[in-house]
Amino acid sequence: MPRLRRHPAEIGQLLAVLDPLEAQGLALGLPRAAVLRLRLLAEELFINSVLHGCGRTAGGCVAWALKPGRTTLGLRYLDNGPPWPPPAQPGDTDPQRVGGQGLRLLEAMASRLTRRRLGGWNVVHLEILLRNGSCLPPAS
Amino acid sequence: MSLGIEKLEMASVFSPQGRIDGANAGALEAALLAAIDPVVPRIVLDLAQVEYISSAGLRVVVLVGKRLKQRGGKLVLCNLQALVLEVFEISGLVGLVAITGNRSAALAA
Repeated sequence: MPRLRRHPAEIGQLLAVLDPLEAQGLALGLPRAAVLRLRLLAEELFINSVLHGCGRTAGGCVAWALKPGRTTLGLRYLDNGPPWPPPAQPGDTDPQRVGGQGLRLLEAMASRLTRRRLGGWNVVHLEILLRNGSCLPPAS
Repeated sequence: MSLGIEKLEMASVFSPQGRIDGANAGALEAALLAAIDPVVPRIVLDLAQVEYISSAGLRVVVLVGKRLKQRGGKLVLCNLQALVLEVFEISGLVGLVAITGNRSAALAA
């Protein structure tokens, strides 16, 4: 089980969340394009947490862990804010509705996106496909 | 992110380098808004050196585009890298924001 890294849900923590995530992905030998893509989705998750979720309450925090696989790169992301709103409804597609863009990117760019509520936490699991397979060595 | 700026007769051309994210989108927004010329309210955003843009950057593009339109001007984007173009496509902004393949076309648009 990968170790979760925990951060306060404050906008000033953005790079403290994203830079280690990117560094960890690159250190695993994952393709840079895939790591950047995951960074982008992690940013959208974190910004949503800060602006619309646990960042609005004292003690709000987030936690994340990378879950690299052979054909996918996964991210487990948690925040202790109120439950997420339900997914966007069909027809809710106004591209200039600024607040909705982050979720739209998440839903379109992740090959898999699940979210659930667990013990006061929103738990998101997302995956992106590694186009040419992961650079990880074969499991021994 | 660093930001190159050229003032041409037809437009101001901004060339950000690096990433446009929640940490620096505010600075980009301030620079673009401050550069709106009341006489030539036209800005070209050359994204050739931008490898990453998040929704924070999209927000800046929408906001600056609206502001220019209100003043009878235009915002034109050019040279989008693959990931950046994908983000614009998913966001639904392609078609609402002028996007061209290169700077010459952007200046002519």
